[in-house]
Amino acid sequence: MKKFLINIITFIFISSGIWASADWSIGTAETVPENKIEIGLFQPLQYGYSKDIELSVYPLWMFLMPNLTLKKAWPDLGPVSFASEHTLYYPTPLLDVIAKEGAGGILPATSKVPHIFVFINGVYFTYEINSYLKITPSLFLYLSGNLGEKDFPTIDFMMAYHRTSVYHNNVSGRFGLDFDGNIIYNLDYNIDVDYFILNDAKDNWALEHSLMLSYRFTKGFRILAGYKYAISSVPYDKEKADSLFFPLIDFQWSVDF
Amino acid sequence: MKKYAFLICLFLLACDFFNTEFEDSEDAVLYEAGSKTAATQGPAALKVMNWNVKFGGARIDFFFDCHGDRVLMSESEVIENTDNIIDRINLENPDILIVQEIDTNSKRTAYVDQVEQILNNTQFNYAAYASQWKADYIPSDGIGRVNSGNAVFSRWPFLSAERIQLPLRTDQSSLDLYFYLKRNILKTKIDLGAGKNVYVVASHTSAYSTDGTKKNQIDIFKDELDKINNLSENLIAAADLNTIPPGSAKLSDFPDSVCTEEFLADDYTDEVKWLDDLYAAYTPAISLTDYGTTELQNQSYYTHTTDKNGFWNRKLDYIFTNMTLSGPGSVLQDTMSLSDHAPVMVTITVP
Repeated sequence: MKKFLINIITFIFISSGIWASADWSIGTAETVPENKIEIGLFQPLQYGYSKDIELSVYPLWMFLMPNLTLKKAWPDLGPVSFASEHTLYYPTPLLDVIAKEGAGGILPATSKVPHIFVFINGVYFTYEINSYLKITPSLFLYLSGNLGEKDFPTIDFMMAYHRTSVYHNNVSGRFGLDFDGNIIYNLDYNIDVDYFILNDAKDNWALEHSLMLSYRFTKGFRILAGYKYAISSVPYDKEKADSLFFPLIDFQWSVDF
Repeated sequence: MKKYAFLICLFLLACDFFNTEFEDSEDAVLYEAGSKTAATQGPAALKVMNWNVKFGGARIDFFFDCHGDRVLMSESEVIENTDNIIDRINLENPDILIVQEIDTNSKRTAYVDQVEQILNNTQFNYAAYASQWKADYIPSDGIGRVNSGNAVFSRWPFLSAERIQLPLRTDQSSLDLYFYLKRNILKTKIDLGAGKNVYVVASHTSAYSTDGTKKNQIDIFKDELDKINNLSENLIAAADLNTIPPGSAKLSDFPDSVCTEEFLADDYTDEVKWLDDLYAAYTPAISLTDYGTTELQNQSYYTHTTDKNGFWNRKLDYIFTNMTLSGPGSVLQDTMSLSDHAPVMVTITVP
């Protein structure tokens, strides 16, 4: 275990020379610069396809939930940067895997999971006040379409319910607000708030908030630590919302391709 | 990778991430009807009903008894099935009702609070509930969230209501045990008015155990009754004990046992004396004389079968008291369509 950690740390620092200057575009109207890649353990792999187009995927999910996101930066609206983002993913293989008897059966084995295609379209507006504060409101529309017979229940667990509700209700929405900036030296912050409107029978809603501090060890590597807090109305409690709080940590790299 | 997954599981279980744990002793959950029905103060007799209601699953064939593959019910199914149970309760009009396998917030029962539904549609004014299976999420077989347990319904208010944890099985892995049922004793004391009180003690002991846990739980159940009896208090005990009475003629190879992959609760040969002490110490609703020693005699008092097309084939459900019976108890065997257990009824004279 100790040797494994030493190898990881050595890899990070010795190889730092090849890492490019990073822009860390996630959650803002900015795109990854052309021919650069950003990746994190829990963040998608983002590739700067051109100076104003970014492609991203979640590589670890590709076999169970094929996904692709295209982000396009549009001409600035005065002092405000503007980008649109378009995601297509196919969760059917993942749902098929978790519909099983016995341990790991999140869904009943008798579930009938159709071909589900989820199409998410959204826009970011980023206004940079100074290096200490960048504000990004965002707005997203989730659409889903099914092919085949559908008979499987909702996943009634915090975080999972509102993120999978669109499979059943075909439409949902999300409003976001991000605050990013530098605190001091190589220490940055991100505060993120997302409000989900679910188009289900009981008008459920969800609010996610995260606060992350990131420290740039090199130009191309940073470690992030913080927390996520989610609160939402839930099918299993008609009177009050449920909530969940958990710590977050991530390692992110940026590299010239 | 497996090692890390195991460590993550261990961490989540250690902090009770899925909220499945109970204290050794804790207050039961109390309910009160929105509108109350007047109750006779200091009644001379109590009509008592004990029923494992199978969470309103009626005769739907669920995956766990291997007759079918159903996991979840729709809200309309749950409400309709529970209404049918309520109709039968109202027909019998008991003063005290003890139930096992009643759900208050489970995915399988569309999150219908069945304690509330029964309370609001019967003559009962109060209920006490003790969960025996609780988890924010059961990641197995698509079960999801569950909260199911035992309840006591009463026309009169509770003076106390306690959930007492019973020993857990020792023949399961830590992970299985974490998400598995935690059996309990629900010990309540009811103020009957006019200076009369009665303890009503409910339980539902283990159905599956290969390690003696079921016997241990039955012994602890009796110990709890003895504590009350030794105080010379009035006592009614009702339970699904998941074992058969002394004198049962059929002990194994029940025709409705169709599961093949797991341990079957299908052979009671070693359990024939497990209830001897209970029968010796307390008056049963169905006496051993009435129950008899032949299958023909026994079958009038059978209370359980998992086969909706068959007939009741074993007695698992009981009422005991330290008071006097007003008459012999009965098993309402015409309830085949309502649950996989038939209710036991008896009227008890209150001194």
